[in-house]
Amino acid sequence: MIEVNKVSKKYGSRLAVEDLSFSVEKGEVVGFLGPNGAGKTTTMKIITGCMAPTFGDVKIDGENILDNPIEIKKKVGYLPEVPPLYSDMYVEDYLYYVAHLKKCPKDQIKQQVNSVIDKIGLQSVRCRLINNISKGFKQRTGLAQALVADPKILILDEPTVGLDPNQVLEIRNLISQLRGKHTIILSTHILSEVQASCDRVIIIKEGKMVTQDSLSSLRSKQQQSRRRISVRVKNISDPLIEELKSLKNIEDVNISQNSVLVLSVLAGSEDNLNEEVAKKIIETGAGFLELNESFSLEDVFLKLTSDKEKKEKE
Amino acid sequence: MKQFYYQFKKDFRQTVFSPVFFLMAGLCCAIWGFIFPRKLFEFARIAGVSPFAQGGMGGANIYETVFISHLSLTHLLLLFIVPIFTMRLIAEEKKLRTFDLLLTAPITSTKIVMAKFLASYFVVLILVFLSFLYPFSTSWFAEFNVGLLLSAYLSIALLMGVYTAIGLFSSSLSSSIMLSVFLGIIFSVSLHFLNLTQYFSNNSIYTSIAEYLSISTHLDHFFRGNIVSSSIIFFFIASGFFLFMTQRVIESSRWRSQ
Repeated sequence: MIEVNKVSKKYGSRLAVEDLSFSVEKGEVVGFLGPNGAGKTTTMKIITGCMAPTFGDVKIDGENILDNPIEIKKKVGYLPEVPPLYSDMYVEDYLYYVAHLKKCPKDQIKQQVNSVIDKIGLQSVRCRLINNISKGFKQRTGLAQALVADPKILILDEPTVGLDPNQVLEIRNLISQLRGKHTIILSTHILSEVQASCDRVIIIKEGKMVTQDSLSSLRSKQQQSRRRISVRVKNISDPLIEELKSLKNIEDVNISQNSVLVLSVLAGSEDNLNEEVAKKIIETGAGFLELNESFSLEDVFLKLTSDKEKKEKE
Repeated sequence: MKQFYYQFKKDFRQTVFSPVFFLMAGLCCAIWGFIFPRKLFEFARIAGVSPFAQGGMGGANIYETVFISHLSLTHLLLLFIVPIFTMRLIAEEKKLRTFDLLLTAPITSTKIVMAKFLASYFVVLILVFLSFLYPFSTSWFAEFNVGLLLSAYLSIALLMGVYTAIGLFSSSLSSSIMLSVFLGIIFSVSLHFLNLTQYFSNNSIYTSIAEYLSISTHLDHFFRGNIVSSSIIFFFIASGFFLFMTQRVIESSRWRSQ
């Protein structure tokens, strides 16, 4: 559905995106991850035809975006980082305007606008000025404009930035509802968002691809290489930390911000390590409360975006 | 075509219903309303008749003494006001990041430019029409050549096309609204006074080019009632040139580094 082939983009002498290649299949939800300034927005803009690449090409539905931009742009809905909203327009008028702008068939415009208002939950604000609605509703209106022409491809650039936790959850649910009907690229640096919504992850750093893989594959790779065990105890003390460090295969023990002990486990350790850790805590009488070993995309992300840097420095 | 119409409608409504338009229209009407009657009474005093007397004005020329100064004032005001109307068309869209919507929509940059140009041009024509009402309203008590007045207003209307295109071009150059107003005024004023540069050169070819490119030369023809085809062509070419430049700037934004 989307083929990005050796795309590079230069801003003056600086390379924002370098030799980036990936493809997205029909109906897939792909998370596009990277730290700030990694080139996510630039890549999104190139895919939407908003910006041309310096080198390489992008194909949508097998067609080069620069060969037939008008037809290809009909297939793509784009929600930029800052929703493109006219504050002096009413929500409904704005959606009608976007539907006409995106060349929706004339007989379907009314139905499309009403359907997207229902789907996104904008009924309560449809007759209100965009300037007067909350940030959450503005974000929803931005999502509605991306969806109003019923595009095959949906490109969402950091759709939950600046929203409160409830609004983040609502937007995530909306994205989940769109799964299967549209091919979605979700650009973000919020890792939990990718874990919640995406089938596959593409991680870029400084304009270069670091990895692209499915979440399950990343999880197994992570478990093979390094694990993390989080432990909550009543009383954290230095002797306890020393005791835990003395356990076989425990590489390091740190205290996180919310007073949770985080144990870094060396690769290839035995499965009964959790049991040993729990036993040790009980023995020291520190007040064992909770032990948790879960896959965190954050670990993968940090590993891929910082280890590489270390290697480069070396 | 529907797409073009909706883009035009959106831009027209945003400009005409903005407080800036009402403020500028009010300001223009206040200035015209203050100066025009005074000029008219002064003319009546010189002509020795009541300004509201039916019939002629004792042979004095109301067009030369009252209307020409009103036209010059209209021109001067609009020279500064047109860039204020056009400033938000592209610069503000860039600043508010709504321009991304246009760049990712299936609409050509030519359509975007033409829709924005026509929207702001029609808004400017409303002001031209308001200005026209002042001299035209004297027709019920004064005798004058309406054809001459229409010829003069035709030139003002055509000239506003050039100023609107210049304003749109200035607006496309940056995302700063103030800079776009400033550039719009500078470009418009430069074009107006281009004929002055002919005094710095003895080259006859340069002198004739500078004279042709000068707006004041073309306005003079129309103000004297001569609808000169070369002047009409000049106004169309000047508007077309700046619209083409605007289209190129928009198109190049896809390629340039931001």
